[in-house]
Amino acid sequence: MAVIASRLDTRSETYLNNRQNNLEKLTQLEELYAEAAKGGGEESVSRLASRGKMVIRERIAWVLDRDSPFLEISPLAAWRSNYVVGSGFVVGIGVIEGVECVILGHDPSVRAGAFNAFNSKKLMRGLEIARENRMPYVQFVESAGADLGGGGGGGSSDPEQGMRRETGHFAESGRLFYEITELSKMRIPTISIAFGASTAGGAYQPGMSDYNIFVKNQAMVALGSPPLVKMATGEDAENEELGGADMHTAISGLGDYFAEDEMDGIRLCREVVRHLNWRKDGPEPSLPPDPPVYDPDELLGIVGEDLTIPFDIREVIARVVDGSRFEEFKPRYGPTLVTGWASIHGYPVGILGNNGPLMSESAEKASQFIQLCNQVDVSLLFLHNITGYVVGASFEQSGITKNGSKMINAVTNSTVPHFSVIAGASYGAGKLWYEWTCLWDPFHIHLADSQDSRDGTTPAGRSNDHRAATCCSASRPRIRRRCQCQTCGRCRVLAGREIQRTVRDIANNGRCHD
Amino acid sequence: MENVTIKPIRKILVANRGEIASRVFRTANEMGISTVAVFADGDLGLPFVSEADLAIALKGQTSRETYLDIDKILGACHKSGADAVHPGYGFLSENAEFAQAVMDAGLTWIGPPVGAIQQMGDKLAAKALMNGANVPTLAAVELADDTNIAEAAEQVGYPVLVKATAGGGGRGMRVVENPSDLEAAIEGAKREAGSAFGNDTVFLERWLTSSRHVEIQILGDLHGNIVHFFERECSIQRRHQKIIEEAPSPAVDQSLRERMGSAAISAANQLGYSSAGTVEFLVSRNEFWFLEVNTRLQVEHPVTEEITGYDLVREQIRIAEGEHLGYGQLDLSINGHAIEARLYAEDPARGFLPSPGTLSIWVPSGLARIDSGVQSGSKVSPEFDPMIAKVIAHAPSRREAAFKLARALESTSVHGISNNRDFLVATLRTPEFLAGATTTDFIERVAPPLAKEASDQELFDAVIALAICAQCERRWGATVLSHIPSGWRNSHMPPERTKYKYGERELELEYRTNDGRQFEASVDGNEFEVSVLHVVADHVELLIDDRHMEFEVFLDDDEVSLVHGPAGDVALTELPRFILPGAAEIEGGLTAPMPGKVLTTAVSAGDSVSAGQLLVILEAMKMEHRITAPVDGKIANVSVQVGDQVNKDDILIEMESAEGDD
Repeated sequence: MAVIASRLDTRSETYLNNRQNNLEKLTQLEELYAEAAKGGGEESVSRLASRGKMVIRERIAWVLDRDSPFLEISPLAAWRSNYVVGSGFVVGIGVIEGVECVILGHDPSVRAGAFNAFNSKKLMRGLEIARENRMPYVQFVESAGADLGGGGGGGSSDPEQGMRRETGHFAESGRLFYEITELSKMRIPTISIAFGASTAGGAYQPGMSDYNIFVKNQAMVALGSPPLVKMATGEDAENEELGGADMHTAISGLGDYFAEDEMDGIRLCREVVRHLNWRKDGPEPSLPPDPPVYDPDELLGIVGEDLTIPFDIREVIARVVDGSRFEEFKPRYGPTLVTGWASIHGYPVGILGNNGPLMSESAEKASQFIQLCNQVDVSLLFLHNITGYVVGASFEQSGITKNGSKMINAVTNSTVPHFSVIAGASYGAGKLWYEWTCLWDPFHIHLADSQDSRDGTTPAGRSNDHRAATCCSASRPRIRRRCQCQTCGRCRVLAGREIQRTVRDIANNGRCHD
Repeated sequence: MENVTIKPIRKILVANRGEIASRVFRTANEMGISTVAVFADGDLGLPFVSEADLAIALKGQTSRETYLDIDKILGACHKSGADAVHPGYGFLSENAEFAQAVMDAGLTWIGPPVGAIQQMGDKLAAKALMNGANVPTLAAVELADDTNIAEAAEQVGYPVLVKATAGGGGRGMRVVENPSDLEAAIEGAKREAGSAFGNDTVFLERWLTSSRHVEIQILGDLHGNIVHFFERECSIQRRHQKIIEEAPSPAVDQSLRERMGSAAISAANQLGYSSAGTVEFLVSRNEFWFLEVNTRLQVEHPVTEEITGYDLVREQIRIAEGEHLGYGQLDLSINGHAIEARLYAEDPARGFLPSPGTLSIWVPSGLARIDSGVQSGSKVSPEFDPMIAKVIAHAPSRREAAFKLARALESTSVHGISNNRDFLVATLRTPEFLAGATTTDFIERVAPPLAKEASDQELFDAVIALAICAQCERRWGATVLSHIPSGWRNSHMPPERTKYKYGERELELEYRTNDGRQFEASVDGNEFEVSVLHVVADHVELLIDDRHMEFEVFLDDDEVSLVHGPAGDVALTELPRFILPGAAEIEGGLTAPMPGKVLTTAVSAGDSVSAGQLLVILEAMKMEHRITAPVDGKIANVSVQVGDQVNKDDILIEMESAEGDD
């Protein structure tokens, strides 16, 4: 396979300007990551620590195999909402005892781990990834229940209003129990560590899990907490007798493992995963995983601030794929779409990258290419830089609607994993139909300074960190057969100069950003 | 003597083990002579067994059953077709009966004449003989049953040395400063001599406190030619055993050398000596006194080889074959200075007591000559001498040789058992040693540090090097996503954290990396920027801030890992990330898992038990349930008796963890 010959001039003024611009974006992004990692703030974190408790990121860090990668999903969800950046919840794909697992949990430092619209969606997204990829599902349970105070970030803190506001995700929480149980049915193991309170509906989070680890003097899993029990029946009951780890592991039998403390719970979780003897779905990487010949860092100089200035998508491909090797398909036909084969971290991929608006020929070429990839079970990587399907009489006459429909048909019926990277512009129906984001289940990655106009946001991402490869190999999500677009508000990367609307809009739009 | 005919040796059996066997094989190989080893059961894995062309099992554990068993060794000669025997040092090397038996069997004895061995075997008789040859000796009195001990000691003069007539290697020796200690010392020396040599005769000799131990190497052929190979000084001793030897002696000038040399030669002539031998003297202020003649190759012979350029084993073999020396005294000269240090499996902090065990790591330095008989994984047996290796440095000057030797020791990785390496390094670098003030009381007088304490910086570097090799190993061993860089994160997550123990000190390491090349590390809160230039599981090249360093790393997940860097070895133990709660439970005792009847109690109070050892058998549900020790420890109490009916959770055994007992 030939190595792409890059024509990028890394000393040109354009390159240097682009790079400077994107580095600034990255700085902003880093600040947001740092903010997300702060959780509920120092005071809250140290108060937990004094009680032997860790924040969610600490818990996850300890459960992971040492030095193994961790891919966090939607780390910046809820940015510019009333809720803290990241929504007090972490979900990601990590390796435990050599097994790729979906690991998620509330952060006890953020409003005691209360549920809100954002972190509920992140939780559902975690379940979805576990299901699609047949990965064990590991949840760290500790939640105060629904956040009736609206995230505490201003607005009304009247619980009644809060109830009304949160009705939507109350309805969804039923779906949560359904999906945990569904994983069991699908023979995908589910594991809960109860680190703290998990009452009322939350009690079913461990209740529905295959394995339950309860932490001594911390876990409190019960349908009714002491005040509720008192109100309901007049009974005076203590936390421990209602739902403590000791009680559940020795008397009720809800808990399977009794953990001395948080670290012990994490140790037990690792032991449980070890005995699963698990391998996620899908084939192993089969090609040499050498790094690109061209430095991925140079991605920063390719895309400019002004998205009306075109760039060659091959320059992006050259900095993403293994050894910068790319076998281009139909290069002479429909040149506004670049199609071809490459590999990322050893996984074969078929790449579709825009080099201009979608014409009738390029749409037809896309259809054919998607079918060929499906024939040999090769994942698809979409590199967006699109202003839409071309319009006008001559284009209609040459069959843009006909061929555009064919392309939508091909994307719809494709059954291989899809990954999308917004590399530049992603405007109009072209974007929507092109990768069918709201209907299907791709991993959605934004490159620096890319622009996604349907919801008016300009998300930015990091260059080499966001080699789609990492995502691809870490998760291999598979396409779903049914639409759940209303439940998948995933917000992975959000930054940039023009963002006016909040993540909430995106979530409400059913947009998908990992 | 002149009618000796050349009788070429074709196959040498070395009636010895370890380092000296390997040493003889090396020369034999160079001379085109086949080699045969003999070995005790426990020595099967040692290098000398595989280095020999053929090795014969002596089938036994102890010295007496193996290397001291003349019949077995002659049997091995017969079986292997060996035509010559080299006795090495120790064991049967100074046993006249053995030498005679070898010759009687028609084999070539690579050693001195039987008569010389016999005469020198009794130290008192040897002294008398030397007196006759006008070689100065120290006053000595043999202790017969009716000797008045106190008078004898007065006659010799305090401090007095109690010494076994059949002794060697420092055993059966006691220095007595005070008349009141005399009796006990004599008893002790007799007991030790009796068990070590089968002869408990001891004598008293004048002890020179601040003297030096200087010996002359002699070599004679079967044609009456005798030369000396100058002196060696071996004053630095602990427990009357040499640990640092050198040639030439810093205290011997040319005139003293000539006087001692001719005394040694006249002693040799007196004995009709041939082959290699050593005449030992005490030297004080330009005076010397005869101590004894060692009728064998000495442990410390390499320093003489280094300064003279002669291979003494080769000379021994040539002489035994009947060849002429082919050179005279004037042909020999001293070239530079050589120092040898004996690396022992012993614990300097516990009075240099031997500490046998498994040498998990042995990577000798390339800076010096190493005569060793071990390899990584070798066992240092409690049955035999705990010497690991001799490290010998040769340089133009004494100071250079001392520095080179210290550096060679420092850059040798030795691990798994306590050893005197750091003590030797410290000794070689003391101003007193460098000034040549080496007397037999050197160690008491100078008291070099017994162990090395790594500096903070050395420790931090070692911790970083260890962690980076360990993460490399883990990434290589990863069964999934092994192609993703170490520690890759797309958001801000806590760093990797590990705790290590260095002695009693705990160190906490944190690091982050997103590519496995650049690390942000912090050790005990001290921050470092680390670039990994090259890393494999056991070697790492790092730029820690602005310092470029390379480390060899010997990883051991469960035990102590060893980091060998520019400052030498640093041994670190990684503390477990997760602690099994089992260890805490035993405080409350071991309880019955279900109701049942006690069938057997396998231990009683006070017993030491190891993890997994059977404690109690319980019969319940028609099945036998074995209750075993969860950890190493000691039985505090057995709460049940055979036949007792117990309920679930009844305490059966109370146990104390072995922790902190060591």
